[in-house]
Amino acid sequence: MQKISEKWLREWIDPGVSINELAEHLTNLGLEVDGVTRQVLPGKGAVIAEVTSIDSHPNSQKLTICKVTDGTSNYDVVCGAPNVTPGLRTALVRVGGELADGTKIVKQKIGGFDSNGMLCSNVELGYGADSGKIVEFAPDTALGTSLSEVVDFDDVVIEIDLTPNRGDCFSIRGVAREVALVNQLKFNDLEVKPVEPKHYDIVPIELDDPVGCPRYLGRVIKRINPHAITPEWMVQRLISSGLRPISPVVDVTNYVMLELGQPLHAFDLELVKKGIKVRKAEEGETIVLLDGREVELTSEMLLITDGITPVAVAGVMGGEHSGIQTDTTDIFIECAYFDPLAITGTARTFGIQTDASTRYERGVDYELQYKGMERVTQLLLDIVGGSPGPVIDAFEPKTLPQRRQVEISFELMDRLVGESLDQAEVTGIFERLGLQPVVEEDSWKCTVPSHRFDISIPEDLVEEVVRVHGYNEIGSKVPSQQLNIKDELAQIHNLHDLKQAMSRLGYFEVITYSFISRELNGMFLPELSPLGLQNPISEDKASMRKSLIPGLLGALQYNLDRVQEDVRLFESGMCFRDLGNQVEQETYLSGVQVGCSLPENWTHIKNTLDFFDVKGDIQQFGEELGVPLKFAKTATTPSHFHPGQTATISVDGIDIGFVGRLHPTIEEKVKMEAVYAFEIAVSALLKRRVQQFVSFSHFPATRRDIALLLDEEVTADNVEQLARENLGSLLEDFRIFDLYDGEGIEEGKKSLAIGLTLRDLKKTLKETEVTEVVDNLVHEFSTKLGAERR
Amino acid sequence: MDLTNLLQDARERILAADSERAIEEERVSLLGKKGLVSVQSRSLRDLPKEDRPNAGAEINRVRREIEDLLAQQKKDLDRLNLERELSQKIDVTLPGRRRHQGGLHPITQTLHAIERMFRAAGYSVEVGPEIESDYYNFQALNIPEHHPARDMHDTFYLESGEVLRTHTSPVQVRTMQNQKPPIRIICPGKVFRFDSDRTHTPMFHQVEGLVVDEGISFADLKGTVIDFVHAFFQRDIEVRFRPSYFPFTEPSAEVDILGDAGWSEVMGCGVVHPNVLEMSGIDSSKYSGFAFGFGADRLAALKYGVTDLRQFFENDLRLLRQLA
Repeated sequence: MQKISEKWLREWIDPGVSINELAEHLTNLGLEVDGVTRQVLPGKGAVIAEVTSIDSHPNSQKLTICKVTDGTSNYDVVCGAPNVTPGLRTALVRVGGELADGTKIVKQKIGGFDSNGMLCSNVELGYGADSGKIVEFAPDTALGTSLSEVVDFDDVVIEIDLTPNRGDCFSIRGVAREVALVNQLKFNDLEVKPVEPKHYDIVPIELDDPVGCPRYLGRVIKRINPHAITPEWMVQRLISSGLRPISPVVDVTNYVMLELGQPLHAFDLELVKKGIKVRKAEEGETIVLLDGREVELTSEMLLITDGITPVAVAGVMGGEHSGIQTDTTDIFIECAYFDPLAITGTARTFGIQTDASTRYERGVDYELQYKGMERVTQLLLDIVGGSPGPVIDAFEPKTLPQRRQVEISFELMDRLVGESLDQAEVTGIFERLGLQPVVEEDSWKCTVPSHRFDISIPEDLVEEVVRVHGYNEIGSKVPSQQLNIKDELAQIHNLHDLKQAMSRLGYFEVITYSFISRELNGMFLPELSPLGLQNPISEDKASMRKSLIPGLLGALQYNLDRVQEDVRLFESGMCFRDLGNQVEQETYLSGVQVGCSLPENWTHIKNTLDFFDVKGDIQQFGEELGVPLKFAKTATTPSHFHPGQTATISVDGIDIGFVGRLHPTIEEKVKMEAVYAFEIAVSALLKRRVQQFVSFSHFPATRRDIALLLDEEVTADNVEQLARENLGSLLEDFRIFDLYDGEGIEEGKKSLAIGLTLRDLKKTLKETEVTEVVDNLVHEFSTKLGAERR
Repeated sequence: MDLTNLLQDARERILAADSERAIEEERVSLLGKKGLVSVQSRSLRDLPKEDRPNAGAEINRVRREIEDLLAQQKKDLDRLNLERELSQKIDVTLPGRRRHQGGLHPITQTLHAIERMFRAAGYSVEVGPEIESDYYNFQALNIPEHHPARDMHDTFYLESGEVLRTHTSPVQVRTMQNQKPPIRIICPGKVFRFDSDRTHTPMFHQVEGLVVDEGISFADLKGTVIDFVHAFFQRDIEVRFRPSYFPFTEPSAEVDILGDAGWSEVMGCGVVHPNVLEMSGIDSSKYSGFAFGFGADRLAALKYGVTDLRQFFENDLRLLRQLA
């Protein structure tokens, strides 16, 4: 986020429009204004007060015991500032107020004396850099006035969300250029006169990597005043721009960076006096950064060294001891151009973004270094004094970028815009952008100014023209098309059909996160190693789900906690399974449910869910889709399903999923009971089948019911299969209408009642024929399944 | 028995018949082959010839009268039955017997509505994997390693080094590699970015569109986007385009719509960067294209008035039921 001080900007260029118009102009140019906020003094409750009398502190030479008035009340305040004198009008933060850094002022004893408030320096009040003294105001300043009325911060901060291509706007200068552009004003650049050297001491500079650093300017400034302070106006501009004042030299380098977009660095001369060498780091070399962190470097990183030892990571951050100390008097200023590619990876590797790296990564104007150096020197001389040396210029013309030539034909411009813009207008826009257009027979030839890193192809010129002309001024139309007949939905069942079928079956669709906690993921398909994230947003979203069930259980739990009953949920989405040589990304459709099979109602008693409810849902689901689903006793149940109450679902002989009750250990872990679930890989369901008509019989049907006494082990499926094999096309319908193993039935046995509907395609079945085939079938049941007819 | 008595007796018996079956029994016993009236008819033979016509006419009169009585009794009985049936009342305000309600997630409904609109305009729907290679998610979209634009993406990395796609643009790349222009597709799907607050969720649903053909322009992009926004919100909502930056489009734009609370950003778009076309084997001197992308969740939130996007993934049935 780039913060621009309105005051500062208008000093560069004032288009005479309101702040809101100004913000709209910037947004329409592609510099998105995210906010326009009044800059206020930080801190709370500071008022103008007068020191009425002072007494020396018996236990401390530095401290003074003051009587202070804000015009209404009197306060006893202990103060340590040297400039406190009777009659001084200064700023008092009373008990309950706050300093700029958020410190709350409380009643306390200092050196044994009560202090009911604090007399403050402008640093403590957040608008200056003089920490040595309490602030002083004119004797006629009204007592009790709020400080914010006296200290004229009066600025507005324009927050710009800058896109990565517009590095040229990371400065007041850059934004001013855009304001001039849109208001058709002349842009007046800052004029900087070269500073005459007062001595000829230099630091030799060697460019060992001229690709990464084609130009490095240096200058020695001697005998600066280490006690100087940063002027209030500069502090306020830094604060409006989102920076904190640090020390006069650093403040000035930061100021010039904010103003021109040129990052600068000030070294203690002592550290680099033998010479500067800009080189690539050696693999594994280390440096302790200004923020105290020791980092390991790679051979792609560019370093500033004193010839041997690194003193800074180029364009990112200085080394621990490279900066200006409180007693430094001789300094060396760096003003360099680094290639964006030499900087980009570095800051990200360290996980830091500095004001310098942000600018270098996006491209700093490669013709700006002299201006930057002279500007910073001038300001330093004004603020900290000192004796400047000559500019030391290490420069490799072969690798310093050249102004690019980009040409665009009239035809391409019209074709990409979609309408024909007035050629004179386009030429004018190019001129205002500093692109020095030359109008050829059928094209414009432009020369890209050094601050526009982002313009390199004809399409970039199109964008420039359109954004200045106005995106919203371009007409709109829609593409015409060939009307090819196609029916992509005929080929596949849209996943949406599956979802709608589930919805009709009374399930609500949920969407849960594709990443879940490692612990939860480990409970499902534990034989597959989970795919973890390097940088999860939280522990509960740390690895890619292998199954939809855990997410569904989370949604189930969430709703049960909110007293929802009969919760029936489904989800469809990708699951991720590490198969060793590859990661399978398959779309699944899964569901969970708890509660009763029908909503509670006065007409029936509550009917608690069981396996056959959820199986019935899936059967109906298959029928609706026209997909012949088959269910079988599972040989290998996934460990999250109950091994005795789960069926495998298959279609055309391919297993596609499971339906059943969740495993008791899973139910226990999620603290739920009787959770029924299904899990289906959908790819096999997406093929739409074209049904072929089979003609049916016009002769009457006959039904025969048979009750069979069977061993418990014999499944319904065994009985049906045998009936179907035996009766063939004669069997029109097979159904089971009763299952009984209660009183009267021997232990280990069950009674199964089946209904057979028989019909012949070519004739009416005679009673004797029916009896014969049924008897025959009963005999088969007896010999193959050990069944007795009851 | 004389006819007068017979008729009197029959009338009493018929009036006493209280069911259809009883009426039938009376009909048989009176008018059947062995019935009393038939017995009388047969006795005509015993009468002198000259008396027979009168007596026969008398018997027929009695027969008709009995038939009328039977018919009347049946009618009365039917009316009684109907009255009895109509007197059976239930409390129709008691709730009906229902099955469980279900419904689709509002984001699914939104995606489906969007797909329908674009399909109707001749677009195809393409999908792709959610775990992507760096190449498809970034490099093929003109975002080389260390490009500052990668900061805009807040990418999730898998331990294997692959990424969770930050947009569905990789599907566009795969499509361009496999199809020749004209290409008109939309790519809906889940995408992932490291961000979580009221207006961001670490997973969300994006729909990207791509049109590549001869003569595709910025104006075509504008018209398509405006038409879509109007169709989606079902009114001619005000749309604003402003310059932005995406490495894979040039010129690039953000699209804002005007709501009660001012402009809000709904979409990024632009003219496809020639590098992207070339990397996918499409001749950029012949073809041009446009692409757009938006978060379906955000559009759904605007449409349904949901103010915290995270609510979509809490899956509270109270929300799902309302918006089903």
